[in-house]
Amino acid sequence: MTMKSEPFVVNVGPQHPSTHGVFRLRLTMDGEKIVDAEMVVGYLHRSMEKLAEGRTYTQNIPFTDRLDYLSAMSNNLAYCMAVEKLAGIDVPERGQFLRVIMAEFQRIANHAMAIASFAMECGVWFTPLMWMFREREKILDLFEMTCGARLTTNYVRIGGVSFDIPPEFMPAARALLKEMPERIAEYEALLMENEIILARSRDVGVLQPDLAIASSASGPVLRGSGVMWDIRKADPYAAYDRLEFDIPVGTCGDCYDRFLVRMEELRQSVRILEQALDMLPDGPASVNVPLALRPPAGEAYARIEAPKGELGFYLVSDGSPHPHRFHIRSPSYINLTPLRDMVVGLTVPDAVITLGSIDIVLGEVDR
Amino acid sequence: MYGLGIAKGMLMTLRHLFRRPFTIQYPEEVRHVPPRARTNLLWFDERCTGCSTCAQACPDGCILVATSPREDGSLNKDRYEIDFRLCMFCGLCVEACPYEAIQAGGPFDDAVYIFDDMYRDKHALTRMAQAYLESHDYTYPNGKKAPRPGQLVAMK
Repeated sequence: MTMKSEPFVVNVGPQHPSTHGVFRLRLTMDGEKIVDAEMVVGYLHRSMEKLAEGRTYTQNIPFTDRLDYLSAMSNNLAYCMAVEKLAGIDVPERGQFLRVIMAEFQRIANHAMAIASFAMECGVWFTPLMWMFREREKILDLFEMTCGARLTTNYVRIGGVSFDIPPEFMPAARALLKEMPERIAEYEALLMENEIILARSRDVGVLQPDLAIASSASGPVLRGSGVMWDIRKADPYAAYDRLEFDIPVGTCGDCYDRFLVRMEELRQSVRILEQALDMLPDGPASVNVPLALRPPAGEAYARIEAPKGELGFYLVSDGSPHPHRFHIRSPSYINLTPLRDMVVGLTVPDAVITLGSIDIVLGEVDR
Repeated sequence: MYGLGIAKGMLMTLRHLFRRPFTIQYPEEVRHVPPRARTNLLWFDERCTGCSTCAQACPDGCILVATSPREDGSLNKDRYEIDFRLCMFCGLCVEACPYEAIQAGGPFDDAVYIFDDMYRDKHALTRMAQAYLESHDYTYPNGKKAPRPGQLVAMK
């Protein structure tokens, strides 16, 4: 005899530590199984796209810091690239390399946070978090000595960067890169073969490659499913076409694969950084751009491979100092779309891990 | 073998047991703050001409400048106020100022009990700037020398 139970609703969030912010997952359960999942977003909505229409192009840069507040440099870079495309501004070579250096440091900092919080959700408690924050802290110190802020950096400017690096940056960056491979080996010894992580994340939250492509997922979520797609290779920007690196891909698209892809991207970022620091040319870091920049009427879309996926800015100019339309294609939000298909059939703890493996930041989901 | 991965991780943790901690105890030990750090905004009355470029550059509109012309053509700064309730310390005003009258730096431990105390008029800003100059040998955050209090009277 089979028992039939009444489906009931479990709300995960909006106030729940594993939602990485204020995100609500409305799960319809049949016993222990999830039969439906509904995502409720908007608790952190600050109407950033509308706010941007009342401000000049330069004044919008600090607002992009607050999108994905764990990788502010990448957001600055994507937005400034869109404005430069709109206004036809060329960035000097040194500026391009400084942007790559900062974006890759930001990727390490972001992935450290992503891996650490993912490990926490799997039940591996504070040790990985503390260890990865140690390296993240050094990266934030590098940001602070360069641009004056740690999280909301506001560093990249239209036509270059706000400050050239100080003299103490290079030794500190080299020292950090020298110890990074050893640190990554430590993380791997701690986490990669850990039975808790293996048991919790293997074959959980599988995302099929065709579904990943159909829902236009990007970043480690897409690459974890085995799709080789990285905008740094597919559509090179800044100085990435002169740097050598590999794109790690997963095999079956479960949570463990996404975790492995992030782990390997740490190594690749270190590799990129070592080359970029060696190749950093002399010369000016930026060109002068008027405070109230008036790009010609038109539209532009620029995209970068942010740590979380494809981050794009779509700008429409009507010739005034303010953007007419400012649209953000944020990776966190779009990577959430296949979540329903990933969690149906799982239990609540597995759904939490699946959500953690996507690595969302609610500042970017709701903007 | 089951448990080997955890044992390996434990061994790694054990190795870290005997090293020095990376953290510092804040109120007793204070971390080195780099000179570029945007800890606060310092406004120097003696450098400011009242052109209000900073107010135009501010994304939040948290700077208020009100001026009236003097007879010699310069501007008298009737009001200069920064609303630190709104300020997000982006530093765009610092970059915009042609006279380096507003500079990033100063105290980072200036929390207040009353929210509205974060609205600082020109007297409060000058007190903060003078306190900074006194403790930094009359040198601006950008490294240039500032006039000492006696010299300032002589300039006027």
